[in-house]
Amino acid sequence: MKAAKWMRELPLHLLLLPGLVLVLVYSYVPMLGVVIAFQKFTIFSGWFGSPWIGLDNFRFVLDMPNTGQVIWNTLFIACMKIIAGLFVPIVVALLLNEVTRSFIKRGVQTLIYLPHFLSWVILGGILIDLLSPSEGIVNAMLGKLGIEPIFFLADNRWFPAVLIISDVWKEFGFSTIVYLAAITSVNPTLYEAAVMDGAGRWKQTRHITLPGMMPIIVLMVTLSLGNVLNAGFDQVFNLANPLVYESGDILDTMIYRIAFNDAQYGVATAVGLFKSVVSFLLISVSYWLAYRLANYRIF
Amino acid sequence: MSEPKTLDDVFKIAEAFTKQDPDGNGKPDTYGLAVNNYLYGPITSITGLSNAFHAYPQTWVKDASGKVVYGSTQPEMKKTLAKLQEMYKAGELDREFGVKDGNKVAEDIAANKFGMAFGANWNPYVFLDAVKKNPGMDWMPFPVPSVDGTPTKANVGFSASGYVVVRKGAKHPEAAVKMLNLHEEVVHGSRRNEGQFITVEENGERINTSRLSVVQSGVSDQGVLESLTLLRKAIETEDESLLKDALTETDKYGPTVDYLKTGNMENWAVAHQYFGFVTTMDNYTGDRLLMTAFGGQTPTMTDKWATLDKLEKETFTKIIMGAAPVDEFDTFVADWNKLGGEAILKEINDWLSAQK
Repeated sequence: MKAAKWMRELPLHLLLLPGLVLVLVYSYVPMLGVVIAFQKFTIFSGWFGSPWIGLDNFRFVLDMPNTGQVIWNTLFIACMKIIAGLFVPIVVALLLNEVTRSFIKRGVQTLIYLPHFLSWVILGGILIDLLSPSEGIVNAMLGKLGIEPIFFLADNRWFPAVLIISDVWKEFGFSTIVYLAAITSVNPTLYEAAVMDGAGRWKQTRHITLPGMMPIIVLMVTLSLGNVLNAGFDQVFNLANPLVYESGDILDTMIYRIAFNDAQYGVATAVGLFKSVVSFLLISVSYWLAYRLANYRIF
Repeated sequence: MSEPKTLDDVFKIAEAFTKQDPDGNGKPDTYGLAVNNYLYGPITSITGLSNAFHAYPQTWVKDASGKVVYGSTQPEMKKTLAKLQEMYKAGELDREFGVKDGNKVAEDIAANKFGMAFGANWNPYVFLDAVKKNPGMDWMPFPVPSVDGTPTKANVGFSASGYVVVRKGAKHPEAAVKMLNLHEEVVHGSRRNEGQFITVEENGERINTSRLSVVQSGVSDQGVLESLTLLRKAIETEDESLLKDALTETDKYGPTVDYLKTGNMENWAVAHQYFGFVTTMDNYTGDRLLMTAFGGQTPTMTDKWATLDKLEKETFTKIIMGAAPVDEFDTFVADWNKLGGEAILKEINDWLSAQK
């Protein structure tokens, strides 16, 4: 009997195979490459010919004059993005949920989702024009309010804010859809019961909608905590310039220069490995916390 | 306005392009000099202006005592930056050049915003869009005038563009040399035959066979110069037969002659590259080209160059935009030396003296 069941389900299990192979080839095999982080790696000598140098690559990065600043920039930009990237879509999803006309709701949903599909190469060029102090529309509007033009992309006080706001603008539509989906899965009888008990809109939101969304919110927080060291390479690379290295240079752009301008793949891999280890630890801890505090499990 | 003969003329032209509202729209939105935020490179760079001040940024140069020093850290560079800062303050550079890369600047050139730019002989191909879009716009090449009586030199990269290497212990290392000689002979030398060895036409498709050779030799500087001289003679006398001995750039003949006769804008870029060749030949010969004194990579360079280069671009951009005083240059030089520059120079000088 058991064997017959197994035989019957075998084709279904085999369907998993292509996916497994892809994960193996593209996610697990490349992990072997982390050995480069402990080598004085040169392409011509390869993995087996390059000498082992222990932790020297890590020491080299710590000895670079700007590393402290770069790590701080990365943490600051990434954390602000995570916080704003959680808060904004939840609020927008709650607000959209209250919109009764379906065409407005869907229209807004589509419009805010659109920038997600544009690459930072394109948006970089657009933002440079939008934020230009002489011709940009943003400064033109500020000018109408009597505010002097601000050179957003060349001012160390403004540059991180530009990164955070433009990133949230680009991505919040996507998360909003996730939260809206979570809201629709809330059992409508709960609302009916609440109305019977005399709960208004605000009370319904606080005591039914938000708790109903909680599992998804916890999941999104857990996943995003892994990004604490990802401040967004594409974005920074396309918007940064020498004037804002001080506030905008992040680990990824530093790795890029080390790896591709100086061909120091060992050092670049070392920094990449460091980032991965930190992300792994943070995801593990937040997952454990999510289980403990919200009784939430992914598996 | 007349052609720039002296560096002062250049600055006057920059001022005129900025202040006299050349596009006549009543807004101060035109600039004298186009610069992109990479600062160097073959287009809209500050290298040409630096050369006028006898500064050779991003180049290993020999000082009076014969020792190699770094061009970007020399006092002449400070003078260049001081002048650029002055121009920036006077509105002669785009106030936002610090956020604009080469492509963005090219867009602004097409929007008819700039009066001058320093760059390489092939820049007209980049400017072609702009010229087509703006009837009446034209660009002409001029040699860079000098800040004093001494003629300007142009800094050029390392001249070797490639090497042919033979594995150690190969049975017949001399074969590579024989192949090189043969290639040289049939492509650039006595047995040169365009149709047989260089461009083969088959079914209407042109295939550059010489580029497919395993071992290749390039055209020497002298060969290029001789070819250009022939090209010039051919164009001036409209005698295409003179080109049969030219090794390269022969494709410039037809379009240039056509442009000179008909003013066909399709050939504007080729013709203007030719004008650039002529300007170069008339001005930058012999010792007026300054080749970098070292073309390799030292161990410290591998370790530190990313840091040093970032420091240089950051400091120079800040100085030009007035975000840092010109004297910040001295701090930069000290930091540059301390962060590895001094060690790199020692490696280069040690290596060069070991070669003697």
